[in-house]
This record gives sequence, C-alpha cells and structure tokens, in this order.
Amino acid sequence: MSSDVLEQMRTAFKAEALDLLIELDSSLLALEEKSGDPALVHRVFRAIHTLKGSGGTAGFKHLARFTHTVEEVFDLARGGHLAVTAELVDCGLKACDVIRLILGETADATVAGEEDVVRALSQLLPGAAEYPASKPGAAAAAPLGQSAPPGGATRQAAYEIVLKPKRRIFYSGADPVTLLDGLRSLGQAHITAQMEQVPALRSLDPEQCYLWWKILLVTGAGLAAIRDVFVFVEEECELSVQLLEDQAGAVAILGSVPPESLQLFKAECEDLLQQIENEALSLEKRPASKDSLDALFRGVHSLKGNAGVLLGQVEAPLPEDHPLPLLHRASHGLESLLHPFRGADAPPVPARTVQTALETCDAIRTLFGSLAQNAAGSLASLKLLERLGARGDLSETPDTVRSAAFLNTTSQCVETIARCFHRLEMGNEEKGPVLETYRRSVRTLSAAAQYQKCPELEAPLAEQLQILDAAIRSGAPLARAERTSLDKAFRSVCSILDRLDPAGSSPMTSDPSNAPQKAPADERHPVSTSTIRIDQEKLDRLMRVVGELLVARGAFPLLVQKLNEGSDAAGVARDLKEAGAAISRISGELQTSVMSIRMLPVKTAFQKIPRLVRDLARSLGKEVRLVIEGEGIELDKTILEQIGDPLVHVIRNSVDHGLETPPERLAAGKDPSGQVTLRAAHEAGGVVIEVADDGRGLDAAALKRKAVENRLVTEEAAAAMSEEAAFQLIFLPGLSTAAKVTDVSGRGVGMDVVRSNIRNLQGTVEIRSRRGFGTALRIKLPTSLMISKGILLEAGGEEYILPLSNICDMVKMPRAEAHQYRDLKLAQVRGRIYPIFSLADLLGLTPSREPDLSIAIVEAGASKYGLSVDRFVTELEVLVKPLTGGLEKCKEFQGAAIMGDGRVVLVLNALECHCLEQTHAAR
Amino acid sequence: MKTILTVDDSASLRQMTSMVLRGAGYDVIEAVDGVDALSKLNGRELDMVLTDLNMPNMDGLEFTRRVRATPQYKFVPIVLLTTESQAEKKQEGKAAGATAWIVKPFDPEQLLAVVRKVLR
Repeated sequence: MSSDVLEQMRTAFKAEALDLLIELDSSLLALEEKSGDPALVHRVFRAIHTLKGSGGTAGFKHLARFTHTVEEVFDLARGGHLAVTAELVDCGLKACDVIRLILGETADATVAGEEDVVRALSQLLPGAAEYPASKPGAAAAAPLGQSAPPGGATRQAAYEIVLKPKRRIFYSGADPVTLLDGLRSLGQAHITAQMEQVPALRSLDPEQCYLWWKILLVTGAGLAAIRDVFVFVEEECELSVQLLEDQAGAVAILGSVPPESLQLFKAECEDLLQQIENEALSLEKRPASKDSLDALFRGVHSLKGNAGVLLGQVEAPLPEDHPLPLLHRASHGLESLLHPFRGADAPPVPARTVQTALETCDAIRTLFGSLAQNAAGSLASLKLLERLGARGDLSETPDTVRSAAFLNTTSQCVETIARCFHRLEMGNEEKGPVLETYRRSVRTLSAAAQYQKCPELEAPLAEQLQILDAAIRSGAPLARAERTSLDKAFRSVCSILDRLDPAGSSPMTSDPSNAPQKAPADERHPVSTSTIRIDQEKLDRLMRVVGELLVARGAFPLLVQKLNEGSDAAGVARDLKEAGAAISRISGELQTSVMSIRMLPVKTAFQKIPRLVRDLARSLGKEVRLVIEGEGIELDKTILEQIGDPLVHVIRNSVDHGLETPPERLAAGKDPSGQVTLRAAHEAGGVVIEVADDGRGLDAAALKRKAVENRLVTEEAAAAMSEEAAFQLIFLPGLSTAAKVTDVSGRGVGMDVVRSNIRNLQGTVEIRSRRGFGTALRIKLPTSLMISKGILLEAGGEEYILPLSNICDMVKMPRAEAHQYRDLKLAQVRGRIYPIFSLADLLGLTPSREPDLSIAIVEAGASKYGLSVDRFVTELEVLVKPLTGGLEKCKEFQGAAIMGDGRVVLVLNALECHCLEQTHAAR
Repeated sequence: MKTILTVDDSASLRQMTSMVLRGAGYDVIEAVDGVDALSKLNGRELDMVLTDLNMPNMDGLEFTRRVRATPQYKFVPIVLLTTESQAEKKQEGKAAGATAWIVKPFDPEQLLAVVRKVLR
C-alpha cells in the first residue's frame, strides 16, 4: 500500500511544486523591485521550505538536498542577517530553474547549473564573524575546497563513526535506521553495515539487533551535531566518533561522490585489478600474445576511465599525494606504455615493460587499498609515475579529465555493444549472457551520459534498455522488430557520440557494417504530464449537466407508455420532438463542459516568459519591456503543453536578434528600451498568438540572397518574390541551419523547427516585418485538437471536410468571372485577387460542370488561395481521427471523421493541399 | 475510531498523511494552517494533532500554544513535523507544549509508527 501512497504523493507533489515555483518566481521578481519587503522574503522562504519538506517526504531526495542550501540562505535573509541584493534574487531565480530541472529528472543526477547556483549561494553567505556557529549544516551542500574562513564553524570534516547498538535496542523503541537517516541529513554519509554477528537463520532472534555499522561522514555540522543524533539512544549503544586521518582527501572524495558511485567504483576496480593482474602474468609468460595484451590494455583503460569519472565528480582539488589522482595517472601511464605494442605488426612486449606493468599493477593495488581506507597515497608510487612518464598529467584540468573519461568509457561500451550485435548475428551461442553484456554496457553508457550531461543520449539508451529488459525477463529470442529498433537506437547513440567526440574518431572501428548515420533530431518522444487540475466550478457544471441529462432521459419511458396507450400520434410526435430538442441541448452543453475541462488559459504557457525576457535582456545588455495581452484565452491542454517550446524560441529570437541594443535604438531615433508584445486573441474559430517586437525588422534582400546561395529557391523565383513572401523563407529548413543568417538578417535559427512543431498542432505560422519598425510572428492554432468545426463539401462527386479554421471566406461566383492567366486561374473576391485551384483536379477527380463556382478562400501559412469545389453541403462539428496503417502518408488529409449516419469522410489538410498545388504548378 | 487533525500548508504532504492515516483506520481532519485548524476544531472530539511548523497566517508553534491553552485539548498529543534545519525549533516546540516530533522527510511507515506510539 505504501508504495501506492508514495506514488500518488509524488504526483501530487509535482503539481504542487509547479505552483510553488510560480509563487517563488513571482515573489522573487517582486522582491527585485521592492527589495526590502520582509513579507516577500517570508513568502520566498516558505515556498522553498515547503519544496524541501514535502519534496523530501515524497521521495525527491535530490531536490531536498538542493533546496536545503537555498533555504539556508533565505533563512538568513529572513532573519535580517543577509541583505536582499540583486545577486540574491538572481541566485533565487536560477535556483528555480534548477529545481524545475531536478523535478524533471528521474535519476539522482546533478542537473545543469546546480553546482553554479550552490557556489553562488555559498558566496553570498556572510563570513564567520557576522554569523556565528549556531547553524549546523549551513554549508553542508556548499562546494568543498572553498571551506569557510578560519574559525568558521561550517568547515567540512570527515569522521569515522562506529555504531554498535546493544542487542536489545529494539525494546526501547529506537530504530537504528532513523539514526542512520539522522546522520545522512548532516552531510554525505557512506554507510557500511557489518553483518558478521548475524547468526544462522535458525538461531536468529528477530527481536535482537545483530548488525552494527561503520559510517564515514563528511559534514560541516561538527561533533556536537553528530552526538545530538544519538542523544536518545546513548544508553542503548556503543558509539565512537573519530576524525579521519587524511582529512583533505577524505572530505573531497567522501563529501562530493555519492556513496553508491563510490561503492560501484570500488567493486568494479576490484574486478578490473584482478583481470589486469592475471593478464599481466600471462603476458609475462607469452610476451607475443596479442590477446593478453589487448585484454590487459582494455582492463587498464577501463580502470583509468572509472578513476577519471570518479575524479570528475570530486569538486575540490585533491592533494597531490591522494591515491585517486595517482591511480588515474598510473593507469594512464601504463596505458601509454602498452599502447605502442598493440598494432598488428608491433613488436612483442619486452620483458622490461612487462616488469614495469607488473610493478604498476602492484602500485595500483596499493593505491586502491589506501583509497579504500581513506589514507594518503604512498610516495613510492610517485616515483613509479616518473618512470612511466606520467607526471605531466597533472596539468589536465578536471574538465578534460571529465570528457576524456567520458569518451573512454563510451567508446568502450560502444565497442562492446557492437561485438554483442556481431555475436547475436552469428547465432551460435547462448543469447542470455550476450544480452546481459549488452545491457550492462547500455547502463554504463547511460550513467556516463547523465554524468556528462548528454540528455539527447537518454532516449535511445532508454529504448534499448527497455527492449533488453523485456527480452532478458522473458528469455525468448529477440524478434526481428526488436532487433531493428535496437540497431536503430544504437546507431543514433553512435552518431550522437560521434558529434561529441572532438577528434571525430569513430568508435565503431570494430564493426564497419554499422556505419553511423545521422540521428533524426526530433525523434525524442514528447513528454507530457498526465494529470490535469480542474477548476472546481467546471466539474460542478459537468455534474449539473449530467443531472439534467438524467432528467431528460426520464421523458422517454413516458412517451413509450403514451404510444402503447394509443394516444394521438401528433401529440406524441410533438412531445418526442421536445424531448429530442432537450437531449440535443444538453448534449451540446455536455460537450462544451467536457471540452472546457481540457481547456486551460494560455497564461500557463505565458507564465515563464517574463522571466525568460528578463534573463535574456540582462545577459544581452538590452532594455526590454514585455507586454502580455489575452492571458485568459483558453486553449486545449495538449496544445498548450506543446506550444511552450516554440514560443520560448520565438521570444528568444525577438529579444536576441529582433531588438537592437540601446545605443543602436537611440541612433535610429527610437526609445532605448525595446518592446516585445505577446498577445493571444480569438480569431476565426481558433486562437492567434502573436509575438511582436519593435526592433530592426527583417532584411528581405538578405534572406533572398541566402536562400539562393543555399539553393533553396532559384534566382528567378527569388527576384519575382514579394517582400512578404521573402520573409516566409525564414521557415525553410536549409536556411535556418546556416548560422550566418543570424548576422545578416538578424534572425533565424531553428524557425523550421518552430513551424513543424506548430504544424503538428494543426496550426499555421506566418511572419510579417517592416525594416526598421519590427517583426511580428503570428501563430494560429485550433482551440482543440479533438473536435473541430468544418465544412462538408463535395468535389468530383466525393464528400470531404475542410476545417473551418483554415477558411477565411466562402463565395459563389459565375464561372465566367474566373480568368485564366497563363497556367493559373485567378478570381477577384472582395477586392483581392486569389489563385484558384480545383479540389477535384488536385485529388485527381473530375470536377462537375456547375454553372457557378463555389470557392473557399483558404489560409495556408502566409499565403491565401481559393479552392473551388462542386458545392458546399453544410457546416458541422467532427471528431477528427488521425489516419493510420499506411494511410498517414496521404499528407493532403489530416484525418477522417465519422458522420452521424456512420459514413467516413476524409478531412482535408489545407496546408498540404497547398503543397500539392505547388507540385502541380511546377509541372 | 480515533480522530487526528493534520495541519500543513503543503497539499501533497496533507494528502499523504491523510491517506496513510485513513488507510490505517483513523478519522482525519485536514487544515491548511493554524487559523483554519482552530476553526475546524471548534470543540470537536480529538485524539491527536499533527502539525507543520512553518505555515502562513498562524504557524505551528502559535497553534500548539493555542491548542494547549484550550482546556478541552490540554492533554491531546501534539506531534510536530519539522525539518532538520529547525533543531532549535524542537526546543521551542517542546516549550509550546508539543509531545513529539517527526523529522521530514519521513515515509508512511515512520509516520504510522509515531502515531501508534503516541496514541497508545
């Protein structure tokens, strides 16, 4: 039951956390203006405090850890011990971002920016003089190395704690686990349970405590705080607390590396060392054996990789004689020593080298031993390093250590996986172990990806893991489809890694058949939250309507009774008509109510914009006024969730490229502060979101030039293009990736992605601009993806539905009024000239020869055109279902709808019909 | 059936405590802060109070004092929900009349263990 409760609580907490973040964001922004307001500081503190407390209880341990640091700082501000400065507010806002990221994270990994915020916060903390020792754990999560000034009570220290509860401790109601948790809350605790006193099962008394614990704890809380944890059980256990011998090293490693990583590292190193030693010995016997050499090399390589990963996690610089960097360097030295002998025609390994290798193995084992015991490294190993020529490695910055370790690890895993594929292909061995190896490598890869912050790797890795998990669980051989998806996901991993590898070396050397291919950029599955929070009022209305429906239903049995009794037919017919009308009214209301539940105000998507604009303006040195209008307009939840990213992109473009710097604006005779307007409004059955700036505007000539250069349009086409049409070039994929366009026209990266995102939502986007006056981007969206209004029409004897949101006008005109101009049929509708296309022609049908033309003026992106049909039948509401089973390739239809009488009618996609025309026109 | 009043401004925490307690067969009254809690008490029979410390309007300490000052609830156990950074608050809480405390974060088992212990 309890895991259910926790799961529900997690969901509830996530929803609450989003509210709290908004509260936090807005309080902080308000605080920026009224910096002294104590009520605001309290609000900020309370929001963080709740995030920490509830988050921790809901199992968001990482979040609790991080918010703890933030809370400490604002606690000081609350008590008046710390001035509320712009930096503090800035830190707070950045902390909000980090919290958002942590909430999205499933694993307990450090998220982008987290360390920066923690560092910035710790710098805000006042010196020890102003803020005496009363706060235990104030710097518990602060970066080490920047330890508090001398005399400060928050200095980190490493302790060894031995906790031996008395056998009868349970009788006093005490629980050792809560004691351990108490220690964990003080800092980074590495806990090892000692089990040697646990007796055989038959003589075990469950009411006795046989376990005891050794805990390595890094904390700034001080001895008193540690003792405090055990205050209620002093008589119930033996306790010893001692400072560790090598303080600096122990604090650095134990304090910043999560206990799980350290344990994993130790276990893996143990295995690797065993392997290395064995291989070195067999190499000694047969120096020409390439197999032994390769195995030895691989082992050393992994060891170096593991040590590098661990080293990268350590935040503070380690003392030079600490075993970990020595271990890393020794393995690196050994690796370089062995490398020259690896080639196919390399000489056998000389005895002297084997001897050095063996000595290095011994040294590594010694180092490993002192690492495990948290002691300092020995000087003997320093001498050995000199012999290996590995002294120079000291200059490696942690960053290069990090990425080198990352590349080492990943290239190895990729190699292993490629081998697994090969083995699976051969098919002459047991599948289980191969899959296990595969899975292990994928896991290592995903740990490495998290560590190096490569989120794009996660999706393909998770996909592989899922398939492998299932396959290993079921024990059945892999199906062809599973193999294909494994292969595909693996290839996209390879290509991502290739891009990350600065040397560009392909890690796929061992399997040339798997040529890496470019992974599709937007293959990631859209992630959306599955809960929805509903206004109580909306639910109440729904209940009321359902009640009415039940009452209306009651009319029918009465009518049946009347008919049975033979009442007059006309009277019954009248009653029936009334009952039908009531039902139809109620079902209409029911539909509106249910739809409205899915509808949320655009405010939810606009909320993050002020913060974004503020940060951008700050970092770019621009002055920006943001005007938001129409926040209350409602859109379908799905649309809102997916419009956020494109919106951010567009706003960023406006501030970054659209608006000029204050001096430029002054020179152009404008107000030095630019304005960005974000506006939502109802229009033609949908919603329009407009992002407008009063910046420099687009340069049509530059856009045309760029498009011609990139061969997206011909020179003639570009010359004939109107300015308005030229602006739309910005949405072409080829144009946007050319980074230079940013300099030329002042706009443009990724607009094609914006457009495709919006098209996926069945929306359209167009851009308008005037040089020197600004640019406006209009995103037109349907209010709901589920139900849309459309016009039922006939063309070539078939029925189709055209969504109303695409139609701006409908007219009927005599055939003679449409004129043929070269290949194009043109017609004048309300003073404007439109090209007219026959829908039947486009779909390859025969149009009827009605005397009058029925034309719908259709909006497709920026252009409008007329679609002539045989006749318009009626307006109706339809539930559009997407086409599947191969039919989705018919782009000219966005889906199908089932009519009231059960017929299926195709729904046209106005945008793609437009493309059909272009292909027709080209012919 | 025993009745427990749980006071917390965090909705998710309230949800969890009340689900766990109801699941264990207790009757639960929920309140969002001290003021809300006092108004919901209003002379009702009560077996235990579970309250957060840091809340808007009226915090947990003041609420604890008010409850203790009411003759009807003079002996009702009051358990505080604290976070580890509020070590000194524990003392204040004790002075205000609290019976025990639970340190956040906690899990359902810990919560029930404390509740059972206090109600025994």
